[in-house]
Amino acid sequence: MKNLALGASILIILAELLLALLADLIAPYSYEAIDLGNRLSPPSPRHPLGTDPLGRDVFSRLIYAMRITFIIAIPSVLIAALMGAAVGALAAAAKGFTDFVLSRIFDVMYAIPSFFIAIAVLLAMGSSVTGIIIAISISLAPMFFRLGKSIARETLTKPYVEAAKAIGASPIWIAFNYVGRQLLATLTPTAVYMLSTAIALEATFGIIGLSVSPPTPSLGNMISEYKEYIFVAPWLAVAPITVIAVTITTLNTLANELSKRVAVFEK
Amino acid sequence: MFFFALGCGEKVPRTGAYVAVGIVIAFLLGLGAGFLFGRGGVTTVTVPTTVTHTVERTVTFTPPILQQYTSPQPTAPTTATQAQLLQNITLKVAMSTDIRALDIHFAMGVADFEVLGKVYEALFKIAWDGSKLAYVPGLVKSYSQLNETAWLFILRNNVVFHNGKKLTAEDVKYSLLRSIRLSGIGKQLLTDAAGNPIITDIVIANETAFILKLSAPFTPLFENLAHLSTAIMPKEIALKYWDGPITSIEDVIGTGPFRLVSYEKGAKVVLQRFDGYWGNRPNVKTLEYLIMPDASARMSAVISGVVDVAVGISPDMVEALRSQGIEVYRAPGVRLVLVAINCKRVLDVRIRQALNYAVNKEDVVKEFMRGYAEIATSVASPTFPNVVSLKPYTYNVTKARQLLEEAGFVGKKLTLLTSTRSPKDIQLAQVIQQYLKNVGIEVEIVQMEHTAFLKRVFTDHDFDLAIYGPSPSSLYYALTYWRTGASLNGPEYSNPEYDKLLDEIATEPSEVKRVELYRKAQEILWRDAPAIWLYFEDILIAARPGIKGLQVLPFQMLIVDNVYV
Repeated sequence: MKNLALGASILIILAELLLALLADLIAPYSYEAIDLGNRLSPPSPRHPLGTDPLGRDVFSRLIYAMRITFIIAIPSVLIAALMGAAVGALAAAAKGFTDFVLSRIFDVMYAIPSFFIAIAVLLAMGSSVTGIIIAISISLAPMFFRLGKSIARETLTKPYVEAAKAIGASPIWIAFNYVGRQLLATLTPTAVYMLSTAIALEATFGIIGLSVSPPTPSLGNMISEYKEYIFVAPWLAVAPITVIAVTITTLNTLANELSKRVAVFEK
Repeated sequence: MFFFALGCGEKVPRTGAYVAVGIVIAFLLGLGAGFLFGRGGVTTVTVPTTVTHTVERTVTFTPPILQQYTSPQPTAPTTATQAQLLQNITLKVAMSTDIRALDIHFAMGVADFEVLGKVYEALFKIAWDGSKLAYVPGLVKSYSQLNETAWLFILRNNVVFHNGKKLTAEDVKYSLLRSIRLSGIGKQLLTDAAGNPIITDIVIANETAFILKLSAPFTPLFENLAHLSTAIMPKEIALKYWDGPITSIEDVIGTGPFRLVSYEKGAKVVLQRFDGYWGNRPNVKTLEYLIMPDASARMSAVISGVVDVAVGISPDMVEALRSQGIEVYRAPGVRLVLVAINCKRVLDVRIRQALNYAVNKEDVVKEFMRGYAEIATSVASPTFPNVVSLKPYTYNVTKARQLLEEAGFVGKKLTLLTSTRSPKDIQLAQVIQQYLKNVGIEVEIVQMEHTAFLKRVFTDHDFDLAIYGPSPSSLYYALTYWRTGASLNGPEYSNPEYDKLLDEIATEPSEVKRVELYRKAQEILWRDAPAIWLYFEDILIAARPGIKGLQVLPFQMLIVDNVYV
């Protein structure tokens, strides 16, 4: 049963990644091909998810939106995890004043709601893909910093680390072989969980009009564009909302399953 | 009730419980059926397609330059029978934006004029007969021209402010001075190209008579005095807020049919009928404006009956609303949707004309706007007097490409700025992008928050193309947008010949000659194409079927004077 949940969630995520990756081959139409004579048509064999207010194929847009969403979410989480965990480990190793300064900086970042940090970054940098990635990674980094720091500190007090030090292992060797591995094991489920947070953040930016510029679709700006049509063409908003809901639920399940396994492994 | 019946099963005979459950189920079924049939019944209602344009008082409009004018005697004040028939309706209106000012002299947006336009009145007012707009006396009873640069005005003598004070010439003097001093639009309307005031002096003759002395003859005087940005408030209020906007609700005092009673920022504005109003009192006793930025929310509010009227209905919603039995009113609008072309960056007029040829306006209006718009054939709405119909830039890709080639504008990139306030603008931007791509111009769309957008376009002039839609109050005012250095001249269009024509129009006493000058000015602007001229958006208003007599002005302003239920 446990394996079923794990397997199913991995399968769904892989399928989504594949769709996003092969968007150019799968999408029946271009995501920006406007056809004013064919606006707001309901789902049909020609357009499986109907057409939008500019007569564009919603299915094609949805696949490309998934691609943009992953292009934004995955690097943001990777950057946040690397940055946060590395600085966290450094703080744990350095202790003292360095630890104090770094911790206060991330405490302040942690205290401000991530959403506001992200908006500030976006307003300063403009809403490009890079801008959004930086905004999301900055807002996720404090979480990784805290985790990274506590994991590293705990690892450094382990007897085997003391033993390694005693036989003259270099700090770099310890950092990679003990701290690094431990971080990788514990942070992977967190990163998967944060991936869903990143997707939700991107969607929120889209809804308030701060995501990628049109005509490029993202799940968020599709919702923002289609929510006006909830009475007129309900199928429009349903498609991206469903994708977001399924993706986030799946990622959370996956993170949950992964962390259970890590816990078992640690015991 | 259901659980109660089951829980009592032990004590009362079992059949009793079944009967109770049966009753509940039958009741629920009945509700469901009633709901279904009720809706079914409503969908068959046929709905009028156009606004009923009833003109309450026939006021003959006399051209401004006539030497003398006396307005017809106002219809006898509310007779006894009418007072008996007066209804006390509470009308709730869903609005798309919040008001940004409590002060009519600081009003900028459609919402500001919608609300404050019920509270304040100007010396003249804009009348609408369903096809043309006209400028008719409002607070003024009669006027006469003393000489080329002096006009005598007599005020109506039964006008009272909401605080009970009688309207006097003093109030007019200080209101106009304040408008010119503080109001952005007032300044625009009542100063000349060099920035000098058009009205040099306001001489008070007696309590209800005053003379406006002008620096030079100014033919658009009455139409500009009809703009609500020159509305009249009590002298004490004007002096109290001489340097800044009115901040207290108690000081929002006008002469209009409604007075402001409460304002909750971002939520609602409540107006109450003013029983001392000089004209016919409306049947609407309480007028509530609820602020609902989301179009779907406005739509569901009017369907469910939370509000009686909803403004800002998009063309795509019309059918769905009608199928729910909601009436959709339609009026031609004065808002000209355009894509401004920065004339400092796109210098060659051939490129600007090519951009006009590149867009298929017919298709945009027919499909994108579902026919709820009119293709622009001039630079201002045909509902204004003196607007002519010019030779359209008919969709022609070959011609556009040829012009671009001649101008050496090939393989170029342009940025198109839009405001995130209107989803329709963002969609339109993508349509424009596609059309320009067809003639070989790459367009990058940049979305901006509305305030930042306005600054970028009208202050910094930092854009190539920008989508917006000015809503002028008269042809002359519309033309002044494009004057060299004008504050609303975002694209920095500048043509000395055009500027000179505007001055000539202002001073030309002969109406025949003036009409010709107006034509010339429109032709020059149209030809010089500082914008892609697109279309005039229709005003669409949804109202519950019980609301009768609602009227809509082309400025997206509701007229509730004749509303009844």
